[in-house]
Amino acid sequence: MPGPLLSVRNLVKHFPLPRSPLDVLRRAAPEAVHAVDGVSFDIARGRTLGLVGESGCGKSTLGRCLLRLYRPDEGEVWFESVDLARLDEHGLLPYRSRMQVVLQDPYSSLDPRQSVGSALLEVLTVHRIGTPADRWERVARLLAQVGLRPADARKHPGEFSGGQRQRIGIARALAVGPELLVADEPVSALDVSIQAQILDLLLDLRASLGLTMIFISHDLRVVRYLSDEVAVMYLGKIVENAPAAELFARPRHPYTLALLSAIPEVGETPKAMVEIQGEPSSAVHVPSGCRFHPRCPWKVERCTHEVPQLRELAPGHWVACHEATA
Amino acid sequence: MLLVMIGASLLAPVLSSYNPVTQNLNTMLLPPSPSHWFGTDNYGRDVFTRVLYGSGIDLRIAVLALIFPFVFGAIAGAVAGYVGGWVDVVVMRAVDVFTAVPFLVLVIAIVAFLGPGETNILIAIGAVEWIVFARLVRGEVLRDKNLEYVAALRALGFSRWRIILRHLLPNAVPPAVVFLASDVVLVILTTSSLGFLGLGLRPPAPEWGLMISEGRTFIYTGWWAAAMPGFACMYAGIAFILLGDGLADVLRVRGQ
Amino acid sequence: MTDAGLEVEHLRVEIPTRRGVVQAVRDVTFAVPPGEAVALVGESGSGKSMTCRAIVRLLHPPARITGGAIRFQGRDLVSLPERDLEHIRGTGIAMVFQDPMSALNPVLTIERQVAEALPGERRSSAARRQRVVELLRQVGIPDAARRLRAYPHQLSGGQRQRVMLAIVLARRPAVLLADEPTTALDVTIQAQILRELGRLQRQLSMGLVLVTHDLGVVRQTVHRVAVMYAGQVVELAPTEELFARPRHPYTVGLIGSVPSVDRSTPLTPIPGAPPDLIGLGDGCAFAPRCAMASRECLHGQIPLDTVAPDHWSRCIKAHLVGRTQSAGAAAQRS
Repeated sequence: MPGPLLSVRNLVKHFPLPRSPLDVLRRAAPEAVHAVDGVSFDIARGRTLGLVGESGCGKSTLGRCLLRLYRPDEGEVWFESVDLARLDEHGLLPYRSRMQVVLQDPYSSLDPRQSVGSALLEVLTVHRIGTPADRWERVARLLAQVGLRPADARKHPGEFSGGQRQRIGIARALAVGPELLVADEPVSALDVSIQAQILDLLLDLRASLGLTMIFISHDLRVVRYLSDEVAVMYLGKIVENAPAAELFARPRHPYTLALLSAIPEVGETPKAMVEIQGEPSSAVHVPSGCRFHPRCPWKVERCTHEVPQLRELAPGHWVACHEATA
Repeated sequence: MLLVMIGASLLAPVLSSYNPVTQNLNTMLLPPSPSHWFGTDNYGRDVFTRVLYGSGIDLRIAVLALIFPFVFGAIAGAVAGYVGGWVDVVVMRAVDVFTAVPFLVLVIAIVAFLGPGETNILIAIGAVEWIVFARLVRGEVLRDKNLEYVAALRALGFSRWRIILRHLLPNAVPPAVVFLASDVVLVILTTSSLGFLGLGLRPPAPEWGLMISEGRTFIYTGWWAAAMPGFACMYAGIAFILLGDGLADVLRVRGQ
Repeated sequence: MTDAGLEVEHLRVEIPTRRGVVQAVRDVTFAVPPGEAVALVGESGSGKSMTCRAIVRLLHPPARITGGAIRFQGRDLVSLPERDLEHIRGTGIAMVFQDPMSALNPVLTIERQVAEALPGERRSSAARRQRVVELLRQVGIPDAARRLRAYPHQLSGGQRQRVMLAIVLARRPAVLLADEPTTALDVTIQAQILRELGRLQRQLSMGLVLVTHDLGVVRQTVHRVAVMYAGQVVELAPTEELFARPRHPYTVGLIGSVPSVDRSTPLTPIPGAPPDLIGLGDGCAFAPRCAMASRECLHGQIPLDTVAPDHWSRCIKAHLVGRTQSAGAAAQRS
């Protein structure tokens, strides 16, 4: 049985804060934003991992590290049998066509001066896909695949709506025929009815192309719809990781419980499960011990100084909390 | 408007039967009349003819003086903005050096050092003006490089150069081009100023600044000799600013 | 004199532009009795924000009210002179916006800004400071006394929104218009703010108009819902009734477009996109996207009609909605 397509171990990415000359003189300790602080997970081929968390949890940074848009400070990113974190830009080139990204803002994710068709053509040309003769045909097929018309190739991004631009972004990502697709909040900037269209599009494409996906979002409802497995992040760490159905049926980490009870549900009103107060702590001065302890209703003394590790409380269900029980 | 000017300068020899340079002391300082639309100057030369020929000279200088700074400045600015790091520091410190001294002063200094003449004017202006474009383009690039499409293209494995030249520059350049059009006005004025100060072209070249300078001495007796080239400068200025506005509209891509 | 609260009737707002006249609000009718919370739900372009701004006459020119009536406590707001309207703004009707950062003054401490809003003389005093602290505590800012000297940029998004609420509540308005107050916030903070809002609304018996695009938020916070599409109210009903028995295809589509953690049944997205608000003609604006549309839907002005007690819909086939709708949607999916 082949191993996972993507295997991440202890990924760390910090962004150092600029220091003024005064700080240097005073020998103040250098500070950094601890965006991603030791993240590990696996994704099997063909599966979709939902990465969930609120702003500042590090999920976007994590996504960009996986795509090597940032270079991780520590840790390993195993794509099949190669550690992407060790490669330089040149070594990465062949892998770039195997993993692609769809981004959040439909208004800035496309070059406004380039016609849609020529943008797609450029991707094919740079990656030497197809022959010059058949590339335009491939462009037409890509557009059709995402629900647009071949005649749209001549238009510029400004002539399309937000939802259509996301479709173009998806077409661009698919042009290189990737195996892994990282979608970073692809529907958050869209209206609800358009969101649903794009989600269904992703669902169809995933099925027909056999894509492995990492779906990053702050919206648990959307993540539920698309994901096989879900990992919940808080302040740079994964606090819970389980198959989707299991996570939503039997959430174990207090933060997950809080997220679930905070969701404004269209269905019948859920019972209020966990109410948390306060705001997420700063990612620069991370709380000691468990990072969630300042807001956690289950906090005990141990939580303030001992960092909880991910424990497997049920098959495939990992939780990083001292107080969580099976 | 501009087309009129260009046309006038190209067709000067046809439009006027007078020679712009030969002196004719019999016809000194005649006021504007049907035979001399702009009158004549103190050497008897037809002012209209001189203005026409002058337009050719000033236009030529304006264009040549700006091509180099525009191209060089744009690329320098784009690279500095995108790559950042020490490249950015070097470029920006160079910009700082040139900004420290007022434009005209610097140009005058360079021309005074190199000596008058058309080529030297071009060199002087080129050497100083590139920073303006570099700064403009760098600003646009700095802002654009954080847009999501740049991240997407990087994820697609596009090389840095491809991103800078084929994507960032075309987006950063239109504001620079608009600025270019109005910069022409500055160059024309600078050339004229240099001519006025005696540092530009040498007589008997019919350059407008020179004509104003020469005509200054007898402005009470023959005001037209100095005023006409002055009006011509104004006309050219307005023409180019309008051109800049039009360019802004033309360069806007559908949907923006 | 009975206080009828806020009433909006057949409101029209138009924006003349180079391309043509944008009919941002075409026919909006709803009422907010004192102490009740009403939600205006719709996607971008539905006209919900415009409606709020029109109520307090804070439209950006050239947008202007071109028809309809707005009554507050019996007085017509559309024709009220500006000076009288200024009295009403803040004390009668107050407004909270989506982006708290641009609504707060970045160079004043939050104490100053909240104190400014307190009625009474403008001298700073211990009593006023007490009142500010009280207000901040009321909106759920922890350690309020220590936060007095903070500036807006030192607070998080959620805290800024709470400060906005405190400023607005300082004058005890009769009606609060909240334009997407939680859209920019994280979901756990959103839940907190909505809880505060609900609690304050009940405590102070304040009327509330909550503008949002999130149906889920609506369900847990308000008594009545007005669903808006292309500048019109297309359905108006008490909250539970709306979710149990929606009577407009757009409402059904909207409900079916939101994924839920409780179910993983397929979504039923609405095909197509909202219409261009310039040159909208007769007939139902939703017809091009509606599975049930037929020729009668394309003609004439379709009014908001009663389809059940206290339940209004702008669909001539309202009685068929709910039954044929799910069948049609299922057919679409397969």
